[in-house]
Amino acid sequence: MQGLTRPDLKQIYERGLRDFETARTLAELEDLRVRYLGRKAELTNLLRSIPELPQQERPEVGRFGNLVKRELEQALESARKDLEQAELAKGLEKDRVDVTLPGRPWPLGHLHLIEQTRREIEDIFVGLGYDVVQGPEIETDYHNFEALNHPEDHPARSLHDTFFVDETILLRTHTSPVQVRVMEQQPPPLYLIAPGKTYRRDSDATHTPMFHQVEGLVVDRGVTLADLKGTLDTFAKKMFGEERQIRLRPHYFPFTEPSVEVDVSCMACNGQGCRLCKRSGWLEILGAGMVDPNVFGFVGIDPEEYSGFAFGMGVERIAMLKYGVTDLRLFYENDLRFLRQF
Amino acid sequence: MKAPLSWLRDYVEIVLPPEELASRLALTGTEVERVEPLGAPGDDAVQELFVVGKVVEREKHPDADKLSVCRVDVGEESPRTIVCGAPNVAAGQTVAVVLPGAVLANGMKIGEAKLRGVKSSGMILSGAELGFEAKSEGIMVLPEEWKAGERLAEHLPVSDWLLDVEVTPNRPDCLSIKGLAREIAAITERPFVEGQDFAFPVSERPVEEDISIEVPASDLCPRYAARVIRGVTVGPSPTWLKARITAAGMRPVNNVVDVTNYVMWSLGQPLHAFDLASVAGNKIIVRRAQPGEGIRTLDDTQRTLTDDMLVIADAEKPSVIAGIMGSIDSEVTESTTDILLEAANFARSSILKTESALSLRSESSTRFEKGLDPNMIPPALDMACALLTELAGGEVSRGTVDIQAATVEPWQLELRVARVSQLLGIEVTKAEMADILRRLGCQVEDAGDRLRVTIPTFRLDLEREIDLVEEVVRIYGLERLPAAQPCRRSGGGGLTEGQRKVRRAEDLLAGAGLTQVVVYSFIDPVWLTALRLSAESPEAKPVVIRNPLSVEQSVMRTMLLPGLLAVAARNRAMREERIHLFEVGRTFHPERPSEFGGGLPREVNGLGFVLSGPVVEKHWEEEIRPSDFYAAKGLVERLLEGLGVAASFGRTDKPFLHPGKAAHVLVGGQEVGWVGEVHPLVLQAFDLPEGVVAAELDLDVLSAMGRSLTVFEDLITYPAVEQDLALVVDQNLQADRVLRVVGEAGGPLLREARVFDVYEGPQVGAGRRSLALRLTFRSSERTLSEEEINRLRSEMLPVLRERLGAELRS
Ligand SMILES: [Zn+2]
Repeated sequence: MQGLTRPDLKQIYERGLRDFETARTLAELEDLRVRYLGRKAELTNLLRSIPELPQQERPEVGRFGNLVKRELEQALESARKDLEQAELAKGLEKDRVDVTLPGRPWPLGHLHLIEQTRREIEDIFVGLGYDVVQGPEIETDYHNFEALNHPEDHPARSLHDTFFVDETILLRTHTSPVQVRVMEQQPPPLYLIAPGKTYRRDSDATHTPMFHQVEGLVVDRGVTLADLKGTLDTFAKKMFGEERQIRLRPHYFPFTEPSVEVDVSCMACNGQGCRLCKRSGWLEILGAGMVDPNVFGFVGIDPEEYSGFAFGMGVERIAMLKYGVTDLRLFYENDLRFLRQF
Repeated sequence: MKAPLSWLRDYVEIVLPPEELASRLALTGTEVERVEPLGAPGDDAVQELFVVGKVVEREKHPDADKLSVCRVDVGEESPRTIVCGAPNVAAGQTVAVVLPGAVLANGMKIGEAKLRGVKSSGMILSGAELGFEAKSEGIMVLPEEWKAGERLAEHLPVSDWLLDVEVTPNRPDCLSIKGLAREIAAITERPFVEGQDFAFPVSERPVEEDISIEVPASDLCPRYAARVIRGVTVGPSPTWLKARITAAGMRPVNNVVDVTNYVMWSLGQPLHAFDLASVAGNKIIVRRAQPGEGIRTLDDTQRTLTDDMLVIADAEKPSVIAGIMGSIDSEVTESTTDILLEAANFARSSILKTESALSLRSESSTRFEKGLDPNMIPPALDMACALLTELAGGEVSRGTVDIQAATVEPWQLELRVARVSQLLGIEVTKAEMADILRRLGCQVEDAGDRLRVTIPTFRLDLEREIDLVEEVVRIYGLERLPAAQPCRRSGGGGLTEGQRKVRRAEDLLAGAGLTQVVVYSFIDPVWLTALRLSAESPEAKPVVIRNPLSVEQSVMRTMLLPGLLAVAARNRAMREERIHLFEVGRTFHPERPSEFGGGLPREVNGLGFVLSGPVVEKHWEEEIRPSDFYAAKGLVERLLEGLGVAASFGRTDKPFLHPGKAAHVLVGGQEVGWVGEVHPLVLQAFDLPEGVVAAELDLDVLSAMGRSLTVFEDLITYPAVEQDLALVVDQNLQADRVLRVVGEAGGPLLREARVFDVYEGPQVGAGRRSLALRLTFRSSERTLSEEEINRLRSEMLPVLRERLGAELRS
């Protein structure tokens, strides 16, 4: 144990660093740790023999020896980290899955296309400041027909066209009776839509005995036919795209006057004329008009003070046009192959 | 209503191309279903090839028995040789000839052709070949005075356009050529030609000697008029008349019937011609039918009448269902010589009722049902008399029988000029308004801030100022209206909280993998029986539809379940395995009053679902888990939590559910629905395999009761501490009872207790089971210490032992 010098320590230090760097595995590194820093290692023995050195050398060698030990420990630790990371990477490399196999199913459900379309319509009008209201599906003859200015002998009031529960109670044939119910109960201003189920005695390729409508009603001071046109123009653009145009054609409904039918420029051909629009470039989407003064009479609103407009559209019709559904009956067959598409 | 342009031109000059005219009509309120060419296609140059010819000579074809070789003068230097196959061709006839180069209505091209060795340079035409009748027996023989070489188009509509228009029910005046022409005149700003004067030979014999008429049912017949024509010869109509009748979509019959149809089409007034000889007692009585009285109508159907139906009867029996259809035995026949011509006005409601009761409509009744102008009657009779005497000969007896309960005179309306812009949002000048109304046949007088408008009686639909506003904007042009928007000065819109909750409920279920369906609200009553409902239960007493389309759609549903099961079965038949469906919709409950009053049944907005097949689709790495009771219950729990509703479950008896796997859902002590496995017998009835689970909830209650606002609670500053507790209890003790007692025993610091494992088996002994509970303790004032919780827990144990017989599982 004689003659411990700084050059000896330096040699150990340099050798250690070199060995640590060249270790290939964690096991090899462990062997090196034992060799350089273990209880029987050269450096340990040397440090242990410091008390045997001459008094004046001890501090210097002690300091230097401990420095070497710390440095070697750090170098060992860093080599260990490198090796560990390399081994982890090697393990991960082996642990592979076929990323193209399907994931575990987290089932995705679907809202019915009628419901989706109804929400789209609702959201557009809610955005314009409208309320959404509901009325009964089983209605009185009064609300469904009489107060909507249908004469007693109007063909729709017959057993042939309308489902009756008894003499005066029927399945509503449109959502328009909701207009009457709201106007009976609330004073203007009224800005509302009324979505819901409606029923008519008709069943063929283009009619189902139950279908969905959205009614709209605005009653306020100074409401005009031009307001109706702009409102429906906004609706058509939001529903079918900004490039859509609408046109109004005069029509006849008992509870509006003037009455109009509203067409939207065909989205399939952009108004050029195709099979969908029967070469006309236009598709009928709804009926509308100014509230007939007789209807205001039934609900006690003064037609000289207030005016209003109303409109009604078929949800299925809108959905068919927007989504290209070709057969109305698909909506009610509830075939999952149809429902899951949307 | 079919309207050939050539016919409309009797009353108005038409300058627009047909397609443009159709679009103008559509944009002013007369929908045009079709615009189609009629007759021979082609431009004017092609029309030159259709000419009048004179058959100079006719010889038999040397090599064909059925063919003739004709020499026909078509105004050229020498006659042409034309081979003709018609049996009726003869020398001296005036005929219609088409020259090579033309195309016929049926698409046949005419060229120079050799027929059995004889060259034919043209063709002699039949009526069918020009579309004037459906089928021809031979060639058309034309009036002698037409000259060889004249263009045929000068006399007959060789080439024409047909408008097929749909007239709205308020405009019966447009169900006529004349009315439609008036509309075209108004919208194209062309003069309207009121029409001819009708002249006819009148005999000295007064009509009262031919017929007497009584109208006891004058309430249903405001006007009844008739004339008599004696000495007519019934026969085929001339070509021009056949052509128009055919173009209008009717079938030519004979000159008398054709004239009545022609007048109806021209003017809109239906007429009826009786064989005067068949009118018993020379008496016409316009009366209500006697109960049980019958009539065999022209369509050869025996019909039984009721006493609210109006008939035209003679002294003995009814011969016409008024305004709808005549009897087969009062029909005009070949041997008829004297005719009674009826023009009447019938109450529209009576016509509608009778049509609907008999399921019988005709061209005439579709006009009467809309209400007609009684002042159309005299011109219609005049026109018919003029045409009949011209085409069928005879003389008109002097005078008209005309019985009127009341007369209709033109009336006046005022149109405030300011009102128009107030309602339309566009300025229309007073002069423009006046001009539009005049073009429509009104008389207009300027009265300062308003127009005084006299309405012609053919516009019965113009009753109020608003009707005039509509007329103004209709003709002015809706396309000229600006696109504005109403300005809401107070309030604001939006979905209500309830509406948002319904959407949330739907989204929660769709988010959990269920697909929404929409099922008809009316169901087959057999379905209620299939649900094993007792006859007394309210669900078995639905709202019944009096006139359903079929028994399968005859009652209003009281539950969503049967519809969902039917849809599930249909999809199963399509080999779907995982069928997870929900519906949000109304059920109808006649035993409960509606919030809308009026004797209406209560309508409940319900939410229902059915689950069949695996919870999730098969995955290659995973076991299939069936949709069982707990799957359904978990879904209900998820839904309720999502809606912020605290609910409890308890065993229940429902005839349509498995007795051991059925729970009701209680919210605030009120039953809001059920969840369970569907009874095997119900599933059998719906053709579904066992193991289908379902639930149904009252969405009205849930959306009203659910938490609307979540107020913040600090769960972080003093965190919760969880502890597990395994209790061994009697096997039949229900979990909710255990949890309730645990909750009571735990005191206020025990915030939640939840079952996370259940064990039955040898470790706990027979008849016992172990429930592993996770207890969550939390104080909102301090962090709980381990010792405090251990103390709480050990204090619970004696209570649980005493009240539940529970042992701590070792
Ligand atoms: Zn198109």
